[in-house]
Amino acid sequence: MVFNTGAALLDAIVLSVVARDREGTYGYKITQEVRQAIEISESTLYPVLRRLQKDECLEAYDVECAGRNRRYYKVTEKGRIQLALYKSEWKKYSAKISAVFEGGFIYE
Amino acid sequence: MNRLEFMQRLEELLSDLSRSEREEALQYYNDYLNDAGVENEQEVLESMGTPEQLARVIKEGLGDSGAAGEFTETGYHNETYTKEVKNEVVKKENRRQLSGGMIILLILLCIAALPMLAAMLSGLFGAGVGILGGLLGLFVGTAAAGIGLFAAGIVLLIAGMVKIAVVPLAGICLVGAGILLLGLSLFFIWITVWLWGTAFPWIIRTVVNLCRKLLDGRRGEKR
Repeated sequence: MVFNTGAALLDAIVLSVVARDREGTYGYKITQEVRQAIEISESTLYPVLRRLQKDECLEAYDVECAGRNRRYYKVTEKGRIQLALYKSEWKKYSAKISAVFEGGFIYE
Repeated sequence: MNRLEFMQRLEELLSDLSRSEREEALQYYNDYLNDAGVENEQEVLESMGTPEQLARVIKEGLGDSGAAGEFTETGYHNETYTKEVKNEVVKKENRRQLSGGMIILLILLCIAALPMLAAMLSGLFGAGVGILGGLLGLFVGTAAAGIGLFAAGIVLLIAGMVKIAVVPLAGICLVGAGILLLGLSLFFIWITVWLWGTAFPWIIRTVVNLCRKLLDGRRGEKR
């Protein structure tokens, strides 16, 4: 991709992907879904998930699946507030950029 | 490196983390590989890079978590990074200086050996010109012989045919001689064609290859 993805944007995308699954989701699936939007390597997401977990935006829990424990992630209440903030900020940001690109006025 | 080796190495590299932190990371990547499936295992492992790279990614991520203690750890890590980079730069400079000295030495050697080299080169050049001239002579000679014999053969043939009507015996002799010369000329033309078409390109190719080998050898010595 031409544009860099900053840490905040990556956090927002990950939160959004995890929030889509009410029941929670797991690392591999999150990676595959994030990859539909941006290019990330297989190893990138662990530090991000861990950080969001420490910031109490995500909570992790184990679910037994086919005889082993799989780690699941779920968005917390704090995570939802954070995600809502990210979304509204993105809406403003992208609208301004699009306005500049298309030569229109900026609506505040 | 298979999965078991990879995970064992990763565990070793994460041994300076707290136990819970290490287990968290190992469980994540174990889960990940399980969910990717056995058929994708190798591909996923390769895209994760080496265990060393992955361990660095994990540890750097921990540094960003905002806790004050870990920030200092990141600072420490960054310092080692820059130190490593600096060391590399120094090493590179050393190598460059060394090769610079070598080059000066080689240049001095070349200057010292210049008269001898000049004599040798001019000798070689003379020999080369001589051989080339000889070969060219051979090539041109055979071509000239072929053409000359052909022309003479034709002339004799025509003269013989004219003579047959007047003096049949002499005429037949002349025709026979003409045919013989034509045959000889064809032989020379064949040799010429072979020389120009096959031998000449072969000689040039051999000489060029020889020169290239000599040059390569000299380059190798410099290194």
